[in-house]
This record gives sequence, C-alpha cells and structure tokens, in this order.
Amino acid sequence: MAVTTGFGFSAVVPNAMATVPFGPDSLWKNKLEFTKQHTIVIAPSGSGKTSLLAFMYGMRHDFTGTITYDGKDISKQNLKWWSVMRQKSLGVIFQDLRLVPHLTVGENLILKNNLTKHKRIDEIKSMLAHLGVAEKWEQTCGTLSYGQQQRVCIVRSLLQPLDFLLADEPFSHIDDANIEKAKQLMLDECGKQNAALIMYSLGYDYGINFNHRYNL
Amino acid sequence: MLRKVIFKKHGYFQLALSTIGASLGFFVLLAGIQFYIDLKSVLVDKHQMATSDFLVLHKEVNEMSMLKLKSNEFSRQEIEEIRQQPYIKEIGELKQGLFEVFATLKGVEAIKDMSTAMYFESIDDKFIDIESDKWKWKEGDSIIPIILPSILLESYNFGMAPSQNLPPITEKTLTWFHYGLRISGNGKVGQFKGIILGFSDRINTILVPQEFINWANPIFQNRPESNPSQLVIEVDDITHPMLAKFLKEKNYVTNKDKLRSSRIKSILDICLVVFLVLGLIILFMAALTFIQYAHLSILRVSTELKNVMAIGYHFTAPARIFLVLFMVLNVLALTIGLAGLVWFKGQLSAYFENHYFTVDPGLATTTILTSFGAVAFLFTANVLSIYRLLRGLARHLQ
Repeated sequence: MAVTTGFGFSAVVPNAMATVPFGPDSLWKNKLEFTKQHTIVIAPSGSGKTSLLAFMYGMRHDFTGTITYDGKDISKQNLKWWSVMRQKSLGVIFQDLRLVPHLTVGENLILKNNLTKHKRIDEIKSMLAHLGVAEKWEQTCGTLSYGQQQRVCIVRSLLQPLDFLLADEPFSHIDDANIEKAKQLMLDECGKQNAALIMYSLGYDYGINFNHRYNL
Repeated sequence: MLRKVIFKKHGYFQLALSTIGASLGFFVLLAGIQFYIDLKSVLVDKHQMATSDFLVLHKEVNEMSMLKLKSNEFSRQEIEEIRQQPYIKEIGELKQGLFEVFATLKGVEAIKDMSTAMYFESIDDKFIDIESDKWKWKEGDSIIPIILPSILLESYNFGMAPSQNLPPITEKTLTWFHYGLRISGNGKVGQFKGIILGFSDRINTILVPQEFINWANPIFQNRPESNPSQLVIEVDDITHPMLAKFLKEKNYVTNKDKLRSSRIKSILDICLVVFLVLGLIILFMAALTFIQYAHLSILRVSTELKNVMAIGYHFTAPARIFLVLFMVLNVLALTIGLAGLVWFKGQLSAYFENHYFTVDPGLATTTILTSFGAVAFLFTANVLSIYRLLRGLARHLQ
C-alpha cells in the first residue's frame, strides 16, 4: 500500500447544512488535512460529528465538496476499495457500536478477525480481560450493558492493521477506571502500528495529548 | 460466522413453497417438450419420406356419380390446376388397364380355391412405396409382379377370415404363391402368372408395372381410354393450410388418416405452446417467489448485514452464502421436477404400451438441455436480484 498521507478536506459540508454559515475555524467548508497525527474533532451535539465520520468512512455520501484519502477522491471509490480500506487501514469505533446482537462477544470479534487474521484468540481474550469483559466471551452482545458493548467495540476496532483509528465518542458509557484502560489500549495499539487516533468528542479530550484540535 | 449472522431467523415455509413452485414449473415445461417429442415420433408414418408426403386423391363419390351423371375422373384441366398449386411438388396419374382380369389360386391347402375378377392399374415407379428389384416386366415375361393395397389383406384377416372360419394370412405367405391370371378383351385372351411383391400403405389400388399396362392396353383394349380417377400427389408440407382448403373447395377426397394425423400434429403444436407458456409462467412465478424470499431474508437482517459490511466485509461475501443456498434449492427443484417427469413418463409409457404405441422410456436430449437452460434462468434471476439488493445496502451503510 502507498504511504498514507491521510485525509484531505476541501469545502466539505453535509447537504443538510449547505445553507448554514460556518466560521473560519470550522472544519466544514474549509480546506484542511488530517495527517497521521492524533486529532480531536470537538463539536456540540447535532453539529455533524457522526456525519463527518460517516463521510470519512464511506458510509454516507450526502455531502458537497471533496474528501480525499491518500490523494484519492473517496466519493469515486468502489465498494471493493472501501472493503480493503476497512480491513487494512481504517479502524472504527461507532457511536452506535454496530455489533451483531444475536452473536456472542467472541463471535462478534472473530467475525472481524476472520477478515484480517490480525490477532490470535488468546490476544483478543487478553484485550477483553484488560477492559474487564473477558468473562462475557460466551454471552450474546444484545444482553450486555451499553458500556460493556462499547468496550467490546473498542477491542473489535483494534483487530486489524491501522493507519487511522476513527473513534466516535468511544467512552460515552464507560466508567473512569475503564476509560483509562481503554484509552491506554487504543493508544498502545496506535503506537505499535504508527497509526493516528481521530476522536470525535463533545468536548472532553480524556487527557489524551492530541496534536490537532478542530471544531465543527 | 457470516452464515450465523444471516440465518438469524428461518423462513422454511416460504422457501419450501418456492422450491415446490419451481419444481412444478420445471415439470410442466419439460413434460410439455418431452411429450411433444414422444407423440410426434409415434405419429410420423414409417413409410413417410424425410422431406415430403404423398397423398392419394380421388373425387367424392355421391348420388350424382352413382347415376353416372357426374364423372369421377380427373379431367386434363383439373390435373393441370392441381399441378399448378405451389405446395404440390409432383403429381402421379394412375393409368387403368383397359381389359378384363381374372385371377385364380388353386391347390393350396388351408385356403379354398379362390377365383376373382379384378383390375390392374399402374403409376410411375417413384410414387410407389414398395422397393423391389422384381418390380419390372417386359414383353415375353410370363410372370407379372403385383402390389396390393394393404387394406385388402387387413380386411381379409380381420373380417373375412374370422367370419368364414379361415386362418389369417401373413403378407409373406401371399408372396409365396403364383396366381393364375387370365387377361381378356378385344376378342383375345392371354394367360399369365402373377406374384405378389408387397402391400402398399400409400396407394389403394392393384398395381402392376407400367410396362405391362402399356403393352397390354393396345392388345386387349375393350373399352375407351378414360382419364384417371385417382391421383397421387407429392407435397412438401402436408399441414399446409392452403392444401386442406383447396381439397375442400374442389370436393377432392384423400386418404384421411394422413390428414387427420397432420391435424393431430397441429393440435399437438398448439398444446406444446400452451404447455410451454404455462411452464414458463409457473417458472417465472417461482423465480419471483425465490427473489421475494431473498429480499425478505436480506431485509430481515439488513441492520446486521450493514454492520458486517461496515467492519470490512465486501457485499459479495453474504451474497455468496445466499447464492449457494439458492443454487442448492434450484437444483433440488429441477431434480424433483425431472424425477416427477420420469415417474410420470413411466406410467404413461405403460399406458401407451397397452394401446400399441411404443414410446422410448428415456428423456429426450432437448428436454434435458431445456432443463439446464431453465435452471440457469432461475439461478441468474436469483443472482441478479441478490447482488442488486446487497450492493444497494453496501452503498448506504447508514
């Protein structure tokens, strides 16, 4: 794969917000780049955080302007390209988690790891143990608390090669002690893989030393 | 693992229904083709040449002709008119022997001495359906080869013999005997021997070689030469609609069996079309229910499928699982349809046997090729619909 230069934004704005005026320090409608450095995108609720992640991850296309990845216009890429990116370059922690509720914790994680063959089962289990949900391996995800599911989702996002880890309010339902552990797990994995964390947050940075801060 | 995501809830009932529907569609479609092929082979005349048909024409006998007010002969003008019809390839005129013939058979055990007045006619050799190197005569020959209509032997064997307590006679037996033939007329008498060469399904008259008639007529003629009362016509297509219309208009009568079987053939053609259309409709409906099932099962787990594609699965991965399932079901449907057809044919063959038809118990190549075509159609319809739907989901994961 080519050397990752990161994301480039040029006059990007969701179609739904096309008529909203944005200030000069906003990400929307401006031209900027997300290079391989930890970045936090701060925005109040309803200003388009999750939309931005959906655009960058190829899940939605209802925006004007141009988003590039490694210099390629992402809106022109086919499903095969996206599938490869999601397996080999872009990790994600969805705000709405997107686990398969009728599969167990183990099955949900193996579903991802089968694609990437990135970790061994014992490594996956030790990651779960680190976040205090190892004993949930056999339990179906639908029966877990939201916080527990969020931790499973964090582990899943790390079961692949990474250039960027996109995390949409990843700690919203996790207690402080586990936030610390989860944060460490994510940063360690990013460090090992020389990947950058892009965190979308209402305002908290959880004490992470971000290189860039953007507002929406 | 992906399989477990997809088959969260099963809809066996609808799946079974679609498979049964498809089986039925296959059965009707293939049965139509198979039976058409079978019945057609039964109806095709064994003596019929590959490219053309022969019909014997004569005029309708009615009260007028009985009273000799109307001639039964074909005038030159009428023959020319027939010759000019575009669907008629060739026309053969039966030439009458213009003399008396008296045949006798004596001294054969089991058969009573037999003697009968008869008549001779001749026609160009190419219209005759009996092939023999003995079919020739030249001046000085004492033996005359004869071809009899097969109806004559049949009427003896099935009518005369049982009623008179006589044994039935085979075609072969009759060819062993020499018959005494007395030809007379114009104050002259000639003695000949006759041998029967064979029995014709095509021409209902007593035939001798043309050379004999040509030689005997001038010598024994005791009545004026008349026009032929029977014609043999050769046609490309016996089912030609203009032919039937022409014969009806002119009140010409023909050996009805052939026309009837040609009519049966056209009815069969219509039946085949009806069967094919019905089979195709059922198959099409089955394809639709399969597609509906696919849509339903995809939409039922659409959230899960979107999640799976969001973590990096290409849409072809779940599509492949559906396709394997549908491939198995489509082939199963075809197998059930074909098995049903084989069973049904077995039953029907037995029935045909009892009615003196012999039908090949196997399936025709056309039927088998069609079945492959039909299953390919069904599967392609499934593939296209599943790919379309899943690709749509993959494009809009949120």
